[in-house]
Amino acid sequence: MELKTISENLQIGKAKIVKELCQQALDEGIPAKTILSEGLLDGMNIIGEKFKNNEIFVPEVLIAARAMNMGVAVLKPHLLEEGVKATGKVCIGTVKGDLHDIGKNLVKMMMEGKGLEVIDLGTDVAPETFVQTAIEQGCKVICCSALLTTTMGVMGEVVKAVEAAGKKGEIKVMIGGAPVTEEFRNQIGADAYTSDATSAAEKAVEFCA
Amino acid sequence: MKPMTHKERAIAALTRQIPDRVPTFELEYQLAEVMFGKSIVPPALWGNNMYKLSPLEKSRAIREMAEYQAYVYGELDYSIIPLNAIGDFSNPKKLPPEMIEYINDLADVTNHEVMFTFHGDGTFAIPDGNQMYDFAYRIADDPDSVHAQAEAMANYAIERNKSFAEAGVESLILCSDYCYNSGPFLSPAMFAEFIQPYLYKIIKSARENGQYTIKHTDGNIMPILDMMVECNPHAIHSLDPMAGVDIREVKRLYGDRVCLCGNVHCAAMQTGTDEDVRNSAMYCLTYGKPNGGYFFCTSNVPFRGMPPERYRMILDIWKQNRDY
Repeated sequence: MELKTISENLQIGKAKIVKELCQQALDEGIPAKTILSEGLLDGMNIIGEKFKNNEIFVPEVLIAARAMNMGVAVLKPHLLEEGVKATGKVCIGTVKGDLHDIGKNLVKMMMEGKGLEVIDLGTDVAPETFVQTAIEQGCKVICCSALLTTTMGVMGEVVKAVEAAGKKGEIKVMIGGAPVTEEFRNQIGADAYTSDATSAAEKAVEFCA
Repeated sequence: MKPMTHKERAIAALTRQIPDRVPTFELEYQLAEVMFGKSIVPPALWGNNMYKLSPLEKSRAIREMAEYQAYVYGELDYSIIPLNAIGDFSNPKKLPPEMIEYINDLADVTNHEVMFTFHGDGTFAIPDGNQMYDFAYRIADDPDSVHAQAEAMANYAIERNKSFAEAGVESLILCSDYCYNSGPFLSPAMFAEFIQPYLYKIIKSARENGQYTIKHTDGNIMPILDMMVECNPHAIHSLDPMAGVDIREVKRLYGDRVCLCGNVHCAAMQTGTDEDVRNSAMYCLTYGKPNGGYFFCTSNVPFRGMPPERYRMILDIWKQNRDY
């Protein structure tokens, strides 16, 4: 079968069909790693680009991600057997005092769509939790989200906590959210600011390389 | 021109006439404590506290709140006062007696010269957290159930808005947020299917009640603005410059069809320079004011944490430039 079919069905959110096609591809002897990269991740990359260009919108991303997750569930045991590892590991959360998680969840989905392993710390996350998790779990990137001008200052505390742990440069801090700007990134000394979920995923892959 | 009352001024702007001066209001004013010493709603009326009061104590607390609110909004020179929710709203056909008492008291202390407004939306806002997944999946898997829910929500809002009209509330703020800074949550096609018919229905009913409607949403509204205007609200609020919404362009495109409110840069008021704030306020007055149909206000609300001197600054600029 052509793996492009998996990619195309993923893009229109046909979760059950994606699941069936992944199984069919495995039955035909195609390696899980190939199905993942040329079928599922290819589809999510196209979704990411279209989302970045405002050609598709959040609900379409969510149903595509659901399709990807169903496909990944079929492939997972085979990926383990083949010794395939994630392209990198990151932790993500909305900073302390802020309970908004829409942007954070979108970034997480896009990162998973790039083959990254994402540890989701949820919302209202303290700076020390970000850093402790990153160290214990071997994450190369910490991603901080904030929706409020009143909470985005916590991102600066995360940067300082990474420095205090002696991990500056080793663990990168990425920031994003509606009130966040490149000027603010520069002001607090974070490693990267990205303005949308797709760019965030691309930058995280770059940091994990 | 003979000076207008606040209500006359608000009606003139909402109907795209030229009032004596540009009116102002905010969807919510969160700086009462820091600028005037205490919050609008006293602790005695928070949640269940109210039910611990005797009838006399309750009436006194409601009256004092109305008097304080009239004082605060009088000082701010607002033409529309956003009401607070007091009492149990579980029955859309019957407002709580405390709310009616509050509305009557406020009308009394403002000499019936200020317009009141309350939340009246019943359309889907951007869902949060895990509800967003459920909503997206339902749109894909079971659109009929989404329509059924949209219909029920709209009908509920319509019933409640009628109750407010009967209580003398002449305007409604429709505050379901549809957009992020990057654009709408739903695609324009989904918006046309799952939001627009229900928004239209709510606004049509409000107009039949004699109520004015102010449709608010944050974010970049440009991809769906045409559809929002087609729903026939009297005004569109908040024209968020952080999302790239430019009042000059919106006025050019829609100024002859709908009143505009807002566009004064909230983030600049929080973190920008004084010059940024001045420039934003002057830009809004320069391009919003001509030919009427404009309310000067922030691109969201004067939120807690905003430096009060920045809010005073934009009000001063407004006062110096508001007269027609």
